[in-house]
Amino acid sequence: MTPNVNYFEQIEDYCQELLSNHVKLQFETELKLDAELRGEVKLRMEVQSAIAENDVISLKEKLKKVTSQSKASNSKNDSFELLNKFSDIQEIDEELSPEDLINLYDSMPKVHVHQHEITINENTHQFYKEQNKTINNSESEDVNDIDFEEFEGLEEAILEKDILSFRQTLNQVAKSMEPQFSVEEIDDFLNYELAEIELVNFEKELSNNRNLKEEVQLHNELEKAIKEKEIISLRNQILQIIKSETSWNVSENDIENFIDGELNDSLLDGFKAELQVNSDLMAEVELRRQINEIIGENDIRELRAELKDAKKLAEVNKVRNLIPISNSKFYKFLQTSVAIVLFLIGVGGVINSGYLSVDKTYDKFFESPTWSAERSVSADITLLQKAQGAFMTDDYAGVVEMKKLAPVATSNNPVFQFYAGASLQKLNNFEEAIADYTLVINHADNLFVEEAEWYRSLCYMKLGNKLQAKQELLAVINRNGYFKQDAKAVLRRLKFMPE
Amino acid sequence: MIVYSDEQILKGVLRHDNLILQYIYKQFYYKISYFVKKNQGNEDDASDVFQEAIIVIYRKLKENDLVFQKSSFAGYLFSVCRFIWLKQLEKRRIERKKLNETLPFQENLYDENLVELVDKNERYGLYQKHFATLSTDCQKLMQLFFEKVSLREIAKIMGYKSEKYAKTRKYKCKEILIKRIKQDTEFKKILEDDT
Repeated sequence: MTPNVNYFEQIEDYCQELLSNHVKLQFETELKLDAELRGEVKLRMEVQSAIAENDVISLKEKLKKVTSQSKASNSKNDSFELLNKFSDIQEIDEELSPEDLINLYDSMPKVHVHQHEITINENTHQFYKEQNKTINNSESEDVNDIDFEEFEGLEEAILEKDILSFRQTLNQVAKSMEPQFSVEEIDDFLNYELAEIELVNFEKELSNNRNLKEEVQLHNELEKAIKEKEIISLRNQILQIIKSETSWNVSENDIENFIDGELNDSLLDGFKAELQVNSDLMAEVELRRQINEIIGENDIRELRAELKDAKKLAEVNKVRNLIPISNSKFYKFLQTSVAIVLFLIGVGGVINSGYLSVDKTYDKFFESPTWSAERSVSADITLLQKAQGAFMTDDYAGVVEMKKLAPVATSNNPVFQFYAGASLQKLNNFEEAIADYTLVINHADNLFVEEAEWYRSLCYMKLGNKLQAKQELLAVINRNGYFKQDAKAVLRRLKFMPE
Repeated sequence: MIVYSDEQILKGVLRHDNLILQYIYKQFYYKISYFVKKNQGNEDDASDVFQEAIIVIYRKLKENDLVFQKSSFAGYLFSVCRFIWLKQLEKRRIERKKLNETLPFQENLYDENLVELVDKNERYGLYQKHFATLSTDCQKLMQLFFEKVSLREIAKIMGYKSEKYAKTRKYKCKEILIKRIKQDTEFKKILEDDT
């Protein structure tokens, strides 16, 4: 708004039409290009005409209007209530000379009003004006014609002027809070892809606008954060450890020894110190104590387990049944009979102790697979059929022999490998059985993988390899399949089995 | 049980060695958990504090800015954990006077550098958390962009028909991410802290 000093004189001359034609032409060209200059000339002309009394009447009318409006609407006007005090000013009735006018009036209010006219198009002013307009509009609406009885609460709603106005204000605030630059523009700025003019504008805005600065900083940091792949992976790794690992700093043996009262004096103090503050360790010690108590109730536990097994066995045989439906009644009878026999054997077993021995656990959970023809796949049918026959007649050595003599394509068949493994297991040749089961598991694309894992875990257990057995059992549990419960039971027993 | 020296632990953290991380967890976590729980926190808070403290130490190590003179790894870890939890308590407007000091800590470690690093770690952690909630497509796309892979290459890798589409898609992904971050109350708290 500060005009160029060089123009001062020219503006003055131009307003008083004292410029020569040539200079006037130049000045007018400049005037067209320079909005600031135009504003200044306009102001000068208006001041000049005001001084020449031309505008006094119109100014007085304006003041009257402002005074009456401020009385009526109690300071709801476009000029930020700045004209309110004009109502206190005594109105001028008589004609005054320019000198009198200057002496009478401070020229500042006039200039101020003029400046308001100029700024009437600015955002803030517009915002204020729009709010005002809303209120005025709602006031001017003729609500008398509406039958409010038909719309219960409508009158009340319409008359909630403060809410209406508040809603408008909120809308305006929300609009003003919207980011001025899009993600695309900020990105282009950061990637040096803005055109020259846009870049200048952006940088100018950036130097003045705190919100934009924060926005750009967020973009910058976001890029760096996303690039931190190793930190993302470290965080995941720690999370995984927290989820999967126990949080105590003592071994399982120490816990067992502590429960049994056999922990060395050198370790006891440390153990007790950790036990006092580590709630996880407290819970583990308590759990183990309870398990020991439960194991003490041998008879009840065994009976419960055998009942459960008998039920399960009957269900398994239903699933694996290969006998045609016409004979099902007979086989149901057979299954039930087998279940009862097993149950009786189980109950008899309760009498014998040695619950946690490897052999007892193995015998309890090892049930030889049945060779179901429908699970076999083509290959060498004749040889497979022969092997199947041998397996079903308990000729396990025959099956192993047949596999040895079979052509490579047939002996590599996972069906053959699985039943060869099962035959070897039946023959107590656990190491070779493990080798066959491993082939089945590594093949992966067959129906025997879970069973192979289960039987392999039993082989490892029989061989005294608790660690491998444990890993295998965990794999079976993770599959969430048929052997899950059995695997859990064996895993529990493994924990308490003597080394 | 194997006992690792501070040097072995630091090297292990630097190379994300699972055994070392497990060792740290087993050795120190319960003490941190006890401290947090004794000071108005819960198990989740404790695991967050532990996790972020290890990340802060890792950042320090990466910047070659971690030398133990009078301190040890345990002392440093506890001090960082305590600092992180105090910050959380402040955020939650919980009175600090009632603190149960169950962790040994060193006040002199709380320098400006650590404060800045913890703040940065907090912000970056938040961004990374929201980044992980984006679709894998968006994540991959943004990572490729930030790794300065050419647009043509990105379009090819992602199977987009044009480079222009790749760029537009990236803007969309970033817009979603920024929106989610801004809506997060944690982010608002971070901004409040900064001002």
